[in-house]
Amino acid sequence: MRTLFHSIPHTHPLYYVALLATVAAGIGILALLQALPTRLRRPLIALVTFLGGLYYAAEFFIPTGWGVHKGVDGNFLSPYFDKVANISSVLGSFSIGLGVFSLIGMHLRIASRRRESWGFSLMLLISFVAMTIFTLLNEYAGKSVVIPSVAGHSSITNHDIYVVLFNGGLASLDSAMFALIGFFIISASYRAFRIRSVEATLLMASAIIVMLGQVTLGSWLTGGLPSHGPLAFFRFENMSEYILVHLNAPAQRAVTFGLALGVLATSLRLWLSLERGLYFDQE
Amino acid sequence: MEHASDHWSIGIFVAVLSIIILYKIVTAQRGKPPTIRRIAGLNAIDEAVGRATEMGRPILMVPGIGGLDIPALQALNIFGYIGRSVARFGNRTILAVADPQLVGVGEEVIRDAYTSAGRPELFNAEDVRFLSDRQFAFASGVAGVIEREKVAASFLMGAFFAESLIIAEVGQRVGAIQVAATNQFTQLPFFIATCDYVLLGDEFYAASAYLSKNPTLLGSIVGQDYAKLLILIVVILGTLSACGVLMLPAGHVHDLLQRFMDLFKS
Amino acid sequence: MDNNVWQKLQSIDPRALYVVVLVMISASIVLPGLTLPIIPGQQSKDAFNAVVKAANTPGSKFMLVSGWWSASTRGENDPQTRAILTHLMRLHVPFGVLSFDPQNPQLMDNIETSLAQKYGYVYGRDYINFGYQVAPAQTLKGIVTNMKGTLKTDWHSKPLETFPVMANVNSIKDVAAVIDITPVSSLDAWLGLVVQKYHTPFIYVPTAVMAPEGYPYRDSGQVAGIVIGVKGAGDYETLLGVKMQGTQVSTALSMVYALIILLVIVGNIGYHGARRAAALQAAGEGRGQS
Repeated sequence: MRTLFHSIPHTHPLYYVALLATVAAGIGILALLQALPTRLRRPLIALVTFLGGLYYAAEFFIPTGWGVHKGVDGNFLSPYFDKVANISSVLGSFSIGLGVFSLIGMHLRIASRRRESWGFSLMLLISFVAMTIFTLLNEYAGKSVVIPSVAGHSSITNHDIYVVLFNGGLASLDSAMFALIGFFIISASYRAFRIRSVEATLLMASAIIVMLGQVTLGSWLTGGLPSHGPLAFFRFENMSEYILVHLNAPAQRAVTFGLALGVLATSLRLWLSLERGLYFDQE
Repeated sequence: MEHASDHWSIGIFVAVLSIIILYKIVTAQRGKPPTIRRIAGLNAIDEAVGRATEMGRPILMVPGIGGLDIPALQALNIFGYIGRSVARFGNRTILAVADPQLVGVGEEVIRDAYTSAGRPELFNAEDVRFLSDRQFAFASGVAGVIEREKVAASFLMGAFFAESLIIAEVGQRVGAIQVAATNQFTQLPFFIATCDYVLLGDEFYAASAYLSKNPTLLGSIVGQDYAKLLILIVVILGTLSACGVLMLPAGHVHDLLQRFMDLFKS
Repeated sequence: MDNNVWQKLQSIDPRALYVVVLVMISASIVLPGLTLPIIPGQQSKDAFNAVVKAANTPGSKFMLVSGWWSASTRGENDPQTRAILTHLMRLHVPFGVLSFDPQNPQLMDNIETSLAQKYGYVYGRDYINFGYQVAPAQTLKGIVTNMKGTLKTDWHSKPLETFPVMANVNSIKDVAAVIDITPVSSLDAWLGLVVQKYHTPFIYVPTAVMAPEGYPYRDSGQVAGIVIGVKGAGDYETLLGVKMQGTQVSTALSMVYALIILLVIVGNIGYHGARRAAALQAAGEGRGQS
């Protein structure tokens, strides 16, 4: 397949025909898998999962230098790493179509039936179409699409519209949403920090020290204390550093051990299909 | 670490931990399933589902924004059990996902929950929604769902990042009971400040075992605990070795302790 | 005091709080004279020194800058990136930018271009933008042994072999330091897959909320320094002796933190006042009944 695509130049129509045929074949295979009865599908999924996981496990545990020339990194399985990874990327990209289909389908229904808040759905559809068209044009047509001047204004290119959509639309909206956190943290901390017990008092005291240690205000407030010697510890930035390094980090390590073991255990159960049917039907 | 041979001691240690977990899973499947302690946050699930039914408002589930990864699968695993409880009460479940790959898996999980509760007719595929794979577009989408649907309960489980506070604070504002669990240590403070219950650390992975009483999952949890015990022993030995290296004069014991520490050096 | 007052202190309308925050942030950004003196923290100093040390170590000076951020977190990551790239350009260090978010190459390019003019940096000769990498794990694993084979082209799809800056950069062995500018949990991927192999110095530049992830790796020496959020950017600017966005926004951050502390105190006064009032009332009723 790789040879086929490499032998056809990108500009040749046959390249796109081959591309479409490959996508169609992929969809066909997925449809075929979907049509399989459960008793056949289940062992097939288990086998594919096992083989996929086996490659990564074997590649990790087989010592470096096995089956490869001296000086080459990795073992005989390592050169296939990219190819195996590409398979998962390709399979994953099929689902993008599914996601877009689900998203557009739902909002088309809401907009066409004028359900509650249908204006938002319409806005989503317009934004989706505009962003798709102008991103594709920007990628493949550069600045070649010129929109003629209207009512005395100078003409603009597709790239100009893309910049407006990206910087003025997407980037600004994204930043605005992130900025909301600043407001929400105020209301959340105002509501949540109540001194109800000794533990809550300790929590609040350490939170205030760490907060002040992380900003210039803290350094300014205790800036009069010496920077060396026993009193230096009481500068906010040093107390904050102590809490983060000596109290927070060990607790974090302990939680991380637990989480990492959870990931290891779940991975093993999935790889070896020990969780028979947990996601799709009853065990 | 690229390969086990880069640092054999760590490679072998990972293999030993895996064997312990697998051994415990197999023994639990064959023998009497072990019991594990109740997790406080899980009591809230029934309370939240019951309250949502009384109020006639839906329940929201979000499996994080990390894609089709282990935390998301774990979250869906828990959602399957919660979904069954929701279905038994005849209530509605909304699943909002940030990765298109989760649409299919999520749909299967929720459909299966309604089917196994004997209420397949209540399942609505439109309630499994892919909102966006962009972090903050997704956050605004979820916030919109919470506001418009006035959800009575929300379960936020999986990999969350900066959007955690936006989602949970909006849920707080509409008065939803919120239960959160995440593998992201940095997001725990936000969830603790805004949610009613938070499953901490590996409680997230223990939740499905506790809810399902599935021998495989229970065995896995016990295996994880034994593995944790082994890590704890190594940590204690490492600490003692470090002290010994600092305090003992050069000699055989000193070298032995140093060699032990080197085994686990990155 | 009337019990209602205590209740009110505990339940100030969030919208009023939001207005106060908006005014405070706007004031500290609009009024340029409103800046507090910055005393750089230890983590920022360590990061700064690690970059200097890597630049002065014999061998390849090429550094990798990884960007996982998008427009959403540019409030924090943009000033951090500006400070870091200014430092690299001042040290005449060649660098390559690796993006793991589709928006990142454009945002990085905006910063690179504006600084390149000032420091006489030329694209392709002194720095390069590798563009968006779809599969982070595969990319990170690949660049350890084969940088050009894994990344193949720059973000304008031009082969890497055509750029002088890449002439002697073949694997992670040829990278003097890795600088990760990120709002996500990318630390484990870099540490686990890349820098551990040859102990490449690693500088972590996260948003403030992600910073605690870096601390456990400071003790073990896997992270050479941490530039934490806007405060870190301000610290870095101070160490560079310049005043840019980081310095300006650090003051806004200080004011908001002060507001949070003030509100927490107000909320607690209300909470304990209400409890005391309730206790006094209960005691009064008890006496009345007896």
